[in-house]
Amino acid sequence: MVLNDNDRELIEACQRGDQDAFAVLFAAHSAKVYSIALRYAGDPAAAMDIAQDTFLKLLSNIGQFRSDASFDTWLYRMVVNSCLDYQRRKRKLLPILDGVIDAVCAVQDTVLHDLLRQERHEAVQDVIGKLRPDQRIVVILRYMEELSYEHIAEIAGCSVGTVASRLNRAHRVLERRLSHLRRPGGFTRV
Amino acid sequence: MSNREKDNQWLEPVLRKGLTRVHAPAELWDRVVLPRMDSRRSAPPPRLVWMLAVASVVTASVCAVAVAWGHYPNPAGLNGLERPVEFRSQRASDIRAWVRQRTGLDIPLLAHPSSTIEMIGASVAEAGRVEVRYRVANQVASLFVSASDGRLSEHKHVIRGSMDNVTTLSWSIGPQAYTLAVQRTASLGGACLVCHTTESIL
Repeated sequence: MVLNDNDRELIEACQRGDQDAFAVLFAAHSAKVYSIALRYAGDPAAAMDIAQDTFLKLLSNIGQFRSDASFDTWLYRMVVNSCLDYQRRKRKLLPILDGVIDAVCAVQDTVLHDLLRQERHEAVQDVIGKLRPDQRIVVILRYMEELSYEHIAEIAGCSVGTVASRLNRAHRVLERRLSHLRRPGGFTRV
Repeated sequence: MSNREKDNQWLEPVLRKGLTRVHAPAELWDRVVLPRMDSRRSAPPPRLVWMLAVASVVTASVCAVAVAWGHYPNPAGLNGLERPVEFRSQRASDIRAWVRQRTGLDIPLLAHPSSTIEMIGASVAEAGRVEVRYRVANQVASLFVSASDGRLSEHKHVIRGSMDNVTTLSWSIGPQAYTLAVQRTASLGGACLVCHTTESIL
């Protein structure tokens, strides 16, 4: 994506150290960065670490950004690298809070819909989380960010063929593990 | 669209629905502009983390049990979901009639629930509390029902909780209060099909 004049001015202001401009940039991209991190890590605390890491890198490296490049691609590449860094340094901790009482109070009449949607999201998140890191990030960029194979290849620093191959392998795993969601209407069978 | 982009037709919508964007927590901004507050740099010792985690589990358990059991049918015997029932039947309509005749409670069980539901029977415990037991995809589930003072027309005051290997969901509707208890590996949404059709839920 080519930067328009407003974006270019915003980034140039960030490069001059204008904190208000950085706040605007953060507001525009925080949901995207946090969502990718959350879907990749599957854990809000880890997602906060990844998103924080991404924005700190953005803050310290924005001076190196060339305005003729795509800011979106640059930012995607940064969050993907932060995700992969997180994977590398992640320690295997016991899921000690897995059995914690999860009490949620809701006062709404759509509880069954919410319940079903939540279970579907949890099923997808659970299966995505078990994909290999390189396949996981490609699936997230493809289905959450709706990016083309070519754009994903540019971000991941690999060929379009590699992206297609990773997606293909991920599809085979996902088809098998999410087959219970295949019924018409998408109801989660148990 | 090229061949390689012809992704599986059922899988794509599932992934798109399951991978929606979320808002970043407001705390993220503080953590970016005030990096000294980064919790990773001041992480407490592992032993303290474990102690706090255990304390959190105990506190949360006590609070959830106190809240849920104070207002909703007490799913007593959650660990005994396999104990015998007073009235055995695989027909939901027979169970509904038996419960109504014994207690006056009308539980809106579907006459012909989903094929994933297999009825087992029902029991009446002290204070007129009813347990309807069934299997959902071969996992035992119990629906506990008792009379309540409420006159609510919709599912209200929903409390979701879990203990040991059982997940519970409590709510009030009309003059009755309900607690649904399923084994942790089972789907609460699937267990709702004893009273709801798939279409009504979706």
